[in-house]
Amino acid sequence: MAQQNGAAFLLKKNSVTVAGGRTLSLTVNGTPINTTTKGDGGVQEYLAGVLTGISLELSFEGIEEDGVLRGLALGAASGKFLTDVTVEFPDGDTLSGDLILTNYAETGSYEDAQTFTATIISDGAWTYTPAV
Amino acid sequence: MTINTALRTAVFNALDGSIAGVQRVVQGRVQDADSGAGTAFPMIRIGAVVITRRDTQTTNGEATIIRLHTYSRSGSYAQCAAIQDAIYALLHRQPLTIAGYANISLLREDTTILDGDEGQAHGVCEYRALVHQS
Repeated sequence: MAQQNGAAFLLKKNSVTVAGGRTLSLTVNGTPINTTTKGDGGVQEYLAGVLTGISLELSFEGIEEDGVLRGLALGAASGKFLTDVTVEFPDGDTLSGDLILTNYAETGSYEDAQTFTATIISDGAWTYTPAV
Repeated sequence: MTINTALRTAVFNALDGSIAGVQRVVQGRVQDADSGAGTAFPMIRIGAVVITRRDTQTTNGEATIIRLHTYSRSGSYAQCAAIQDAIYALLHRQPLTIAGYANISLLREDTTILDGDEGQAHGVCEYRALVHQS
């Protein structure tokens, strides 16, 4: 796989790119089940093939431009449960699923543009579709 | 229009004819503006513009520094300082209309007065403009 342009790693809501983003990060988490016993000679072991708490987390930060995330953050709690958000990877792969906006912050410095950070986590399974 | 040209034009439009006593606002060489007669002083010259990329994923933007020179032959720093104060009042935290761009902020970064040639006072001030293409 060739190197990819980070600027093309996009967060979209209802097929429209959320504006102003400068950095988008994706983290996938999962916790294995520890099955270590006294008989394992001090070496930890995990239940094969099983992960619990599998989740996905998106961290998004940039310069506030379109008010989309602000509107969700300051609106009703129900609005933070997102069903129309997709992630597009630079090589054309996509990721979709139900997500939750769990954290949003805006900062206004006296000598800079208004900036924002946001955290979005998965709510259930997601669909990862590699590019054709 | 590039931000370099657009910003220079916007600052020129803001300053030209707006400061009492300033004879000329120029973008070229001081020598060319005066031609040795000395009547073009005090003058303001729009100097170097430094442009740094400041994009987002969806918008092209720049952080710019524009340097403004003030030349006075009054024999003291006072005239130069007064002109720099007038520039400050016209530009610092003021909305600047820049063709093709949105100006997010315009702040004076620094200012000083130096000894120029032949007893001139040479003021230098820099303004930082954050812009994005509109």
